[in-house]
Amino acid sequence: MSLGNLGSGLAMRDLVVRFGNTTAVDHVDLDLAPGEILALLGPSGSGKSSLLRGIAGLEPLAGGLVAWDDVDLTTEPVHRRGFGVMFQDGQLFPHRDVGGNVAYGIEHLSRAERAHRVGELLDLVGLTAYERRAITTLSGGQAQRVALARSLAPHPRLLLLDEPLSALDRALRERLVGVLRDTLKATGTTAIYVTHDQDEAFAAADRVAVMDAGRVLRIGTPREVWRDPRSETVAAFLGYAPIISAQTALALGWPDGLGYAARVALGPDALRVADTGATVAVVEQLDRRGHTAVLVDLPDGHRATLRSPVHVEARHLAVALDPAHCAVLPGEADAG
Amino acid sequence: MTTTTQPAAPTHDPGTWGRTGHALAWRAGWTLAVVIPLVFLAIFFAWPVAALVARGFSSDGTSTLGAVAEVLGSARTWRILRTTLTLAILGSAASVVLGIPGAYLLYAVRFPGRGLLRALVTVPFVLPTVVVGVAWVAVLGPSGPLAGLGLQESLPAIVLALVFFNYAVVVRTVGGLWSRLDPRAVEAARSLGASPARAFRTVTLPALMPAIASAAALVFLFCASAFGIIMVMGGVRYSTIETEIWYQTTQLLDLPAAAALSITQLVVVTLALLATSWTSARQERALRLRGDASSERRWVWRRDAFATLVTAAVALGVLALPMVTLVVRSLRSRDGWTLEHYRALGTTVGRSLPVPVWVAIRNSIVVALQATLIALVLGVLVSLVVSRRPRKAAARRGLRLLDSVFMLPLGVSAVTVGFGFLITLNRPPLDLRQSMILIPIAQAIVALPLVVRSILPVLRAIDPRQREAAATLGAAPGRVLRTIDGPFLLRGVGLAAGFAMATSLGEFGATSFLARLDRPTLPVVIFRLIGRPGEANFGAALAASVLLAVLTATVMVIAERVRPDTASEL
Repeated sequence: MSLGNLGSGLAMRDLVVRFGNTTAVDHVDLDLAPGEILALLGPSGSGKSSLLRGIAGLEPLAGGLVAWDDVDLTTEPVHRRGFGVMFQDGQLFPHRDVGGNVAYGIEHLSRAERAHRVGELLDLVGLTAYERRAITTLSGGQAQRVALARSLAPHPRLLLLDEPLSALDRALRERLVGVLRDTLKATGTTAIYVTHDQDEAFAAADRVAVMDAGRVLRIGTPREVWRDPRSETVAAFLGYAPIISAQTALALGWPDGLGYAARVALGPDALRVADTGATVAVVEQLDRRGHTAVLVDLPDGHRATLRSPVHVEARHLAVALDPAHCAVLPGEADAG
Repeated sequence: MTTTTQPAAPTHDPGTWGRTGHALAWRAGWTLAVVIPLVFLAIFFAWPVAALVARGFSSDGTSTLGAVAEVLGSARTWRILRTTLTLAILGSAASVVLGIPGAYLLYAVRFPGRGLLRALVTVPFVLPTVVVGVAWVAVLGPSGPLAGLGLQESLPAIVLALVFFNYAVVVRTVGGLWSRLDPRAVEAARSLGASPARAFRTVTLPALMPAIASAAALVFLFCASAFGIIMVMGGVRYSTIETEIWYQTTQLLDLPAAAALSITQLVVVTLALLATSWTSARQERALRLRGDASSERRWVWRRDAFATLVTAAVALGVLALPMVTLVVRSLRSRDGWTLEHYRALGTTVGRSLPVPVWVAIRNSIVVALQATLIALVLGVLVSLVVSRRPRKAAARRGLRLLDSVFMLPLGVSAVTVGFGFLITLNRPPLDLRQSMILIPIAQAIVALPLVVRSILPVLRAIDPRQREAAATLGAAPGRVLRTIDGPFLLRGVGLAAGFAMATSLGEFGATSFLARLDRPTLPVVIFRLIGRPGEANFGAALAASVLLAVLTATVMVIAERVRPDTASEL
């Protein structure tokens, strides 16, 4: 039935998922335009996977509704929603070969069409001519690419990816996140991408939503969310540290215009060596790839890191804040 | 890019039949899958057993405790109960003590020929109990290789036969867990300064305890309800509750006394079964702790000498000796090597039998096929239902209850089932006494727990997200069942069919009540032959036993070939 006011694409209103007495997803509203990729980011246990399973119909909703193109799908069984899911560990069917797995969702097609579509998708994920390979012979990265091809084969109107790369090592992850985004864009697939990895989320998505304790705290383009996290929880999760008071920021050479209650979150490049600003004590120096991380104690006692191209000889440094690498958070009533 | 950017319309058109119709049919299907086995179990198990219990508590239509009190008051009953418990305790203790080194050697150590040795050790468990009894009589009886020990019809002889039969249960249950123990726990203990002996006592043994306890309880159960072995080996001196029920029913026609004994047996066996289910629940919890690394090690004389010597002694002295003696003596007469005992199988063996032995062989195979079919249909339905993972806690509890209900036949002796059939299914509303179908039904009831225990672990090993993945790819529930559960089910069914067929071929307890004189099965014929004097009868019994053993072993070998890794512990 048409609801008449939710527009095209995915719409969620007041979604609640509960396990016993625990509320995993706590009254979430979310909209997704067709063709858009949304990354759902959050620490483990924040409810992002539960939200995904709720959308797919794998978890019953304790409240709220899920709609696509203004049609309520809340009571629709999983296999009729037209939503694909790519699982963390692929969940390939071990008793079918690669081709058999990819073809599973398109058995209504003729044999020739099916073979064509399987070949097309394997090309797309870079596994041309893998049709007859047994699942057990695939590497972790190959298995996930087969899982991607399998979930795309039936043209899902929405693809839900549940930490699709988290079981892989870092280098492979960085390479495959590009493959994933390109494939989703090439097929025009609307997608929700669940991950706890900030870099992966920013690389894959058009928009990012940060979840914590079952709620969406912040949603926007990667740039908007990074520049303006709006709460300490989101800023801390994105990798801002430490978060200091306006007074300390002013002491570190912040230009005027900060509210008294405002807080300043320091990004990785927020501190630089400068003549103006404050003198801080060097605590320790750690070698990183391409730079030295200099640990310093700020005037308020917070420990902060300064990226320096070389080791620092002095015991004390004059440092200043670079506003371009900081995020200003509203004071009090932290949204988190 | 040739892929379309247009999201496809849902491929299903509900049509006139409609979604509600499909959902109703689906629900009806699952309801039938629960109801059919339950009704079967109610008619052919619960009713006969309940009627039997009722018979014990009432005589001449008036409800009294007379029969029970009388039976429990007699010294004979207490002697029989004492014999039953003594045999069960000695049999299970010896099986466990001898089985643990075997479990270690055959499952935690790697050496050439291990597969063959594992198979040899398993054969006795699937051998019909009558064959086991005959084989030991061939070893210990007159002109047997160990006749000089004077052990025929003695307690140690029966205990040896019980060990022969149950050794495999201990080795396979304990070994199965041992091979999956994470070796790093022992390595951690050793690195903390523990000697190998201390590491075994403080780390390995506690980890194995659930499997040992569960095996011990199961073996106790089998020993306490052993029927064929005691019937053949016990002579007049040793009778257990099981054989006494048979004696009271068929020889003295004292049904109330037999019923009272059945109730006593029910109590003993239910207690053992409760212990089994309690320990196996603990084992399932423990198994989740296992790591992926295997603890298998290469064989080293210095470390493995003790286990090797014990296992070799058991394999040769307890397992191989009776099997080899059985085969050799079936091929010998007073004049040397001969096939005359096998030739006798085409005859009525000097009119000792109402029909030639080959007719009994044919009967056995036909009945076994029927019983296997019944047990498989019921077992598959029960396993499919019990392997579901419903969301509601009440439904999960219901499934657990259903699971244990279908384990009950394991706890109620086959003799009780046969006896129960005898007193309930021989008059309206259900008069099946004259039809041969009662025997396969009784055998299917006896085999059902083994069938479910073979199929269920395979289905439970399926990651539930496999079914979710299929559903998200557009597969309706029916297709999920067919394409995800189906392939696993087929692998489990192979092993289950083997167990059902082997159980049925060797089944003696229930069959001895139900088989008509002119339609005997092979175990019934063997029992009749061994009870008659004369070399010809004994020789024919040996030859028939070899044939029955080969038949069941062949069935099991075929079944083992299709056995999946995750199959049951038996």
